[in-house]
Amino acid sequence: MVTRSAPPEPLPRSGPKGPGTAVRVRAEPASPSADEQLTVLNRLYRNTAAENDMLAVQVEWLKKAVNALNAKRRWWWWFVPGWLLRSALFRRLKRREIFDEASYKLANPDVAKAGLDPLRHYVFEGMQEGRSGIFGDQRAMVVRRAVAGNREKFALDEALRHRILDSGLFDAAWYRDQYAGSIRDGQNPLEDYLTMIDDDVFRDPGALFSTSHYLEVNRDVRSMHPLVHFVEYGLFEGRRAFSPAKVNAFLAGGSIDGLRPLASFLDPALPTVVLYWKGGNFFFTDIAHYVVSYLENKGFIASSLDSDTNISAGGVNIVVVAPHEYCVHGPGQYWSSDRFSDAVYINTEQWHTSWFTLAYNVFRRSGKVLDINPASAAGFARLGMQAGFLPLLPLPGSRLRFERANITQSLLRSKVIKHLTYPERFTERPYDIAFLGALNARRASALAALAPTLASHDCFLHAPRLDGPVRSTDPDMMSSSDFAQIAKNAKILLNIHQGESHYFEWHRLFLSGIAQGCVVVTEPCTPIGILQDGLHYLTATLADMPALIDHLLTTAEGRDKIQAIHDNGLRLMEEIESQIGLSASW
Amino acid sequence: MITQDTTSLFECGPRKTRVSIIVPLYNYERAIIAALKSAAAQTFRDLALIVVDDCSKDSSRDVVQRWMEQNADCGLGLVLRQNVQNARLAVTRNTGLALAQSEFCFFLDADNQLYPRCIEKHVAALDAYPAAAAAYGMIEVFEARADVIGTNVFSRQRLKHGNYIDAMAMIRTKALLGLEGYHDIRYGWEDYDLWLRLCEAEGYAVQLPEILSRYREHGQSMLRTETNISNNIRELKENMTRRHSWLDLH
Repeated sequence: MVTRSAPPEPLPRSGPKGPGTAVRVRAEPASPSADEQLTVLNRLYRNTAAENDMLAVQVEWLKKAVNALNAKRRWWWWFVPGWLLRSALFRRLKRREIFDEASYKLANPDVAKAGLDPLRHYVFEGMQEGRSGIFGDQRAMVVRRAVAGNREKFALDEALRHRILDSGLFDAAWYRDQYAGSIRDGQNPLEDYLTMIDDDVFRDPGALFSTSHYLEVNRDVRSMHPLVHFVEYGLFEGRRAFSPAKVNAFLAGGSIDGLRPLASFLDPALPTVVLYWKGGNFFFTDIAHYVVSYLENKGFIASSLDSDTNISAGGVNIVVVAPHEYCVHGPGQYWSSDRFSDAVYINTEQWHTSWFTLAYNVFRRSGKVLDINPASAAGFARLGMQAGFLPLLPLPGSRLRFERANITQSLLRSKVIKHLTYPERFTERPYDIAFLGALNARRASALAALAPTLASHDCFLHAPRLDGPVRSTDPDMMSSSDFAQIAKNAKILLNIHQGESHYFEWHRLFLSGIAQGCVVVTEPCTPIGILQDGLHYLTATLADMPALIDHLLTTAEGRDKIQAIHDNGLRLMEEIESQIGLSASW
Repeated sequence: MITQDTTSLFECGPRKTRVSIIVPLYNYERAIIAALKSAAAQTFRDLALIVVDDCSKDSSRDVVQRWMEQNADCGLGLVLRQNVQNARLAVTRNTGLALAQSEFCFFLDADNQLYPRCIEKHVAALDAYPAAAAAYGMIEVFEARADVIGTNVFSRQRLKHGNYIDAMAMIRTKALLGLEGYHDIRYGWEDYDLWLRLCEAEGYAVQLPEILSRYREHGQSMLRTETNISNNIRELKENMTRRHSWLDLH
């Protein structure tokens, strides 16, 4: 089933807006509807029930294992050295056939792939991780055990109160406003919120954090209050914390008014070091190099580095690209608290992801953060941080400017690519539709629903299923430059969100789309102010997309429309080109 | 190549065409007409449609014969044969292949469908990629589930861990005969086996980054019945690894 999302509120249509123009849109909607609440409750119940089943299976297996190990032993048993004893115990368990190795391997292909001994894996790791498959399919256990009401009582001491307030997720004013009349007498809002969890799982601490969502996506969190768990553990573990729906509303309620350019965070008298993790996503390395070009353009002395270990404190501006990589996996994990609080961070992640949580835990330590998406940056400002927007622009000489180039040989060999003509006239572009995005369940079902429409036009759909981390050597990896060549030869760039988040993916929609002269047709996006729906790009729900695409490509009126949007894009790019190098702009 | 003897039930129009669409048929009376219609609606017309019935127990054969009689003037070559004895999917496909007199063969299973420009695009792909033995497009999965398959490019490294390329593809007849067609494998995966043998022969298939056909997934799809029962999967994996020692299946 394709999930259809409601379109966002339209932006005020007051003509084109230049960079930096303020757009303020509506505040977030009220609580979820009764139907939505019921759906969430259903899922929470199913999660709990599944967990109980899993525990019951473990209990049954442990009983059998204990019985097997307690069986009568031979006299020499007592003289066996410890290390041998352990192997003997495992052999004994195997002999008693209480563990179905084949079934376990089938249910846990990663174990099989790693060549681990299934029984040992289960005992040492699998049991704790709640792995299934120990009894084989035919013995699925159905035992229910109630665990409700076991949540630990917590004491709201000063340290915890401080951590919660410091997280920026509890908003007393919002809480009072939202739950006016139902806050118990004499309770301060935070205590009221923390003690209401057993009565109302939908009660939220602020416009961003969703109590029920945290429980839903972190199924092991049963014994603590979700927000307490998040500030005590979740932040450090990179737990997914923010629901796409709440994030959509939260970001739409932000304002890009007070966003600052990167230069304003830095001391112009000092050199600037831009850090990235060398083991990370290659896109972030490109961004780091881009930031250097961007700063040099503004008269800074800047360089990009994959380590700051030789850089002494003071005398240098530090900018970290993708802190969830550099400060979690890279050299930044060993930083002193001073360095954490001095640095400026560039966030690249969408808010509902676990990467974002890790990044959030880093950049709140300095409160100085820029984002490659203006709506996301406005969200940081709304959280009280010093926030800025870093526009990824096709600066001359930077890695984000994609000039006309030959397609990589390996791609030419493996995928059918039309003759690319780079025509002057937009309507003569050989591809009707281009799509770029890793395939997941949501995108797959969306593309399937669009299939009859896509099949009647000339398409280039790059939608590989990628299992595991993205490596630039993967045969299904397509470079930004290669895709840009396709985009320069395509009329429409189709965008389907990876999840329920309406996040405007600037690098995909702007750099790979508008900057290449494509008309972006996307699912509804969180407004970002700088680019406008209907003027620079077009939106439609998945249900309406086939009709829109057919209209644009097959009717005279539609062709005029995409020509007009294409022309607006060209004008915007000219405007941006003319502003590059002017210090007053971003 | 292993084939089955057949009896001819219907034939009209040219068989010596640029492309043959080969349709193995077994108990798909309710789906086969949609498949044939989608083949007859192709924009590419230098086409023969070869249906080989593998002794269906329902009225599939009669349904096809009636349809061919009614559409004898559709401009395509139309052939309907029946295996003298049930021979299963791989051999039935080979039987169709042996009947074909075309440069390219496209395999359309009886419950699947093509979008109108499917054959045209595959032919253009093989014309433009003389080094490729085959071409395959992206496929919409419909009915029980909405999905898209065939989205990754042909890669020995990826095929090592499992199949992701369906049989619904266009193959050079000469190349397929050179590989001795499909091999009959208990419980299925004959398409996977073919791609693996293509890898071993240092050949490859080129991917068409467009959705060009439809794969019906339902309770009776082979993938959902025979192939995916866990014991059968284990046996299949062992069998595949015996045939292709470089595989890494888990």
